[in-house]
Amino acid sequence: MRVVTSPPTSSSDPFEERLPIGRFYLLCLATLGLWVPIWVRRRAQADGEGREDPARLWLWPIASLFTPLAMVLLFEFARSDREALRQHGSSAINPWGPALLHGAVLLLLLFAPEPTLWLPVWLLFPLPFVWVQHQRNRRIALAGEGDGPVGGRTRLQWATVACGLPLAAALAWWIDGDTLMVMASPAERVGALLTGAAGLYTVEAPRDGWRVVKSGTFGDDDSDIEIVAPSGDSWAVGYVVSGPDETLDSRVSVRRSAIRAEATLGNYKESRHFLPESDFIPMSLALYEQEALGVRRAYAVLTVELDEALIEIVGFTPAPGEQLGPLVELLESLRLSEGAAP
Amino acid sequence: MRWLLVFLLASFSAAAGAEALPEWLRFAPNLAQPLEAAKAVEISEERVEALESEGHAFVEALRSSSMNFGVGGRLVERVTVARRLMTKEGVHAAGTLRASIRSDLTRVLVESAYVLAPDGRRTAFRPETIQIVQSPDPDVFSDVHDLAFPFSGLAPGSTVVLVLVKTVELEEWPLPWSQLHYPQRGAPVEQFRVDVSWAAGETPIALVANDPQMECRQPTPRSHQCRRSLVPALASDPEVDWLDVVPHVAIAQETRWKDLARREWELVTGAQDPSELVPTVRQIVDGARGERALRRLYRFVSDEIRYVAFAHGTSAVVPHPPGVTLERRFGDCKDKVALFVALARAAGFEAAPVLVATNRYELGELLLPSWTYFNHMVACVERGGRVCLEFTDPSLSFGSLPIGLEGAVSLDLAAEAPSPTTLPARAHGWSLEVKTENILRCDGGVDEKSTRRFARGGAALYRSALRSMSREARDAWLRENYQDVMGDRGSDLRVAVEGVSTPTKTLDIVSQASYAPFHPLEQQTEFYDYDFWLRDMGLSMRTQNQRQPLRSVGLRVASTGEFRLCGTRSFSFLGPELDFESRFGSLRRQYERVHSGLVKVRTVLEIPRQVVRPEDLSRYNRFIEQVVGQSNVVIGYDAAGAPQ
Repeated sequence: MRVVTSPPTSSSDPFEERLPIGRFYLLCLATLGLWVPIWVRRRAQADGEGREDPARLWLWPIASLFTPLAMVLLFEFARSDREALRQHGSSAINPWGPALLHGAVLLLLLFAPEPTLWLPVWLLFPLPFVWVQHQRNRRIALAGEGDGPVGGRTRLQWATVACGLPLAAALAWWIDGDTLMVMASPAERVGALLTGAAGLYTVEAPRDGWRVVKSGTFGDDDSDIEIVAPSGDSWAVGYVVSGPDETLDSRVSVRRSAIRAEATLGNYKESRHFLPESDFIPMSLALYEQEALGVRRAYAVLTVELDEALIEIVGFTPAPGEQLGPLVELLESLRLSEGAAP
Repeated sequence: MRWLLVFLLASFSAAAGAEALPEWLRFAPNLAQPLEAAKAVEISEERVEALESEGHAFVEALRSSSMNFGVGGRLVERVTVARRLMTKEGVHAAGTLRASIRSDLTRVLVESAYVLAPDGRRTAFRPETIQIVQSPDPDVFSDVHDLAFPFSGLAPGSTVVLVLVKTVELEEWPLPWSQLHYPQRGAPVEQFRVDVSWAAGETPIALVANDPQMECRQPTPRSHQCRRSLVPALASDPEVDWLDVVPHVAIAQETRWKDLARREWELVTGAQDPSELVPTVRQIVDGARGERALRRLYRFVSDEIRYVAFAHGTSAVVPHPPGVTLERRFGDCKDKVALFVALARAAGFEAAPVLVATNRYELGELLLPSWTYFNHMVACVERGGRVCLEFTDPSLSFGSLPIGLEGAVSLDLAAEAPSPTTLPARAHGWSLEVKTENILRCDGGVDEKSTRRFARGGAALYRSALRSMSREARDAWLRENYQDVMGDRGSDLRVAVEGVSTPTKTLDIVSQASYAPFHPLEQQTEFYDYDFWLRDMGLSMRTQNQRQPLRSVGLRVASTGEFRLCGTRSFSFLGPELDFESRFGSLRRQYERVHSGLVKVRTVLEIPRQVVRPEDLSRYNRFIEQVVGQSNVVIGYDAAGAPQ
């Protein structure tokens, strides 16, 4: 026998059940955002009130993955909820709110001074949708004169969160682990003196936000120092080498051959002079500006010949226009530490 | 054979000394007579031990000079030397005392000469063993004699003592008398003394010392006295202008530079009326006018009057009359200058005789007006600037001075207000242009042709050396010189020199050679080459000095290298532009890609004339080694299009 203990819901649509926003957020994270099109489809089904509009059911979920269209959807959902909330006499958000939040999040990620990371995208992307769902939850609660029923797929959803979240986190680490390490390093102020492991020299941070990261992040594991620009994609790696065959000429030639093996030398120019404030220590600055298929990048390599060792700092930037200047400034700021000079 | 010659010469000299001493030299009857100031030559044993521990084999216990300018211009000078020989090495190296005498003007009495043995016994010098030697230079004849006193019976601990009394009749000397005394020598000097006095009515004597530790005073209105004890030995070094760095005591009859210059001017120009030389001038200039005429006069005196010095007595400072020099066709520097000045004046040019101190470059080291600072003479003319002419080296071009003479202290005798100045000096005494054409053959080898062009003083040095060689010896020298620098890998080597016979401003050495490949061209993408001549000349400017300042005459090497690739290959990248700059000099290089198969490399190494302080010597050498080490040429080329 079936015992009815509560009034039936006004609708049999599962989307008329509440979806707690914490769980929604975790579902978005655990599915790497793929929960959003599912949510959109269900929301479209609910808003259609039984009408099977193929455009809504199929195109809206796809559209949610593309920013301008996603903003339209967010506006549409928020507007729909606002009307319902007003009918219940409750205040509602401006329907532009979630859409603008979505745009702001993306703009923030594009133009943020810190490195553009997969992690913030992952963490921030669901927020506008969570906000809209929050409005929806309020609407359901008002319609039911209480909190309203929670959706019935709780176990499945928590199972998805439990399985997906570690996978997504692992994926994030795999994709962006180095960058996350970069983020963990303290940002330096302009002019800060940075010293390599061998203590032979210092370089100056050319702008705020440059960071020293651990060896092996961009260069070889035996690198002496590794420094990354605030953008995260321009870096400099220092090496200290010694040996009977190591000369300024030989080191410059080896590096030139290595860069030449990657691509053409491009616009290559080398100059040599004495390292400032040194006792006639020769240094070489080699600039390689390469362009292939419209993509520009540049290397700047500083090599210093001490009596017993060579210092080489290899700088790279995928944006020569903006980053080559600071990179060269960084390299040219190299000064020998006291006691390192002959 | 050499020993036999020495033996024969010694025997002859000994015989000559025993049988016939020159009339200007006498020995006192008791040469073992102890010094008046015998105490002064005593050195404590502690001091001897200290000096030995410092590595000294002997020490000058006393060096003193006591001068008295008497009535009638007679100078009597008593010179005392007492030398303690501390070790066997000291006995070997310093057991013979020496003195230099101008015999035409000086009478010498050997007042004391003995060996003081460690046990206090004195053994007199044997006069028959004295050696009297004149200048070994076959072109210099003078009354200068070197007296050598080879003391006998020496052992470690002996002291050799010599007292000479020199008498000079100053009335015969045409210039104010002057002497320079140097307290610091190769060995330590325990006591250094100078005393000067002069009689009433005689020209007062000036005395100036630039040794801060020398104690000088004027005990009476007509006397000076200087003393210094424990003078350390000179710190030796191979490249030093000693006269500029060693303190001295200058003594001279009071005069002014102006008066000294005027007197010397009279001596140079007063001997002959220039108008008497007009026919000779016409013959020499042969119709030429202006500077061409002046150049012909210069070439005549430089080339046609050979260098032979007759410098007896006052001829040490007084040139022979131009007519005499003209007739003899020889003369020394001042004879040639006197002749040139007379010829130039007869031709209507103003030419000034100029005294030169060939080993002095610091004007501040001339303490008082004295001719003794100067040992050479040149002439200077105004040709849109002061042009100074050196006549003793026919290898020099008109207006070029020997590298070592540039910047030397001088006294222009014709100046309106004569005072010491320095001769014109170029920033770079050595100037070399190198042009090299390299063809990188398809087999990887290199064909090279290079021209080295030396200018002015450097050209004259090479010219002078090459002129003295036979053709065969010259060719051998040129090849050896080339291979010393370039190595002996080259084949088909040809080296020629241009500009030896004619003293033009430049001298060219042209060489051609082929070099076998290390690897075929298609197996390489980078070409390396040394800038050999720049490297060689640069490294030659390093100094071995460690304690004394270096006077670098300066060097400029301008090297232009052309590199051509064979076939259809093309150069891909150019080597580093160099901009090494320091206070010791600079090295600059630029590459130019003329077209895909031709690159020009221009390099300039400049080390300006400078004085390098002792504390900077190692840095100066390091600068040179570092820039020369960075002078390698590197050019990249593409393998594409390489002939198969």
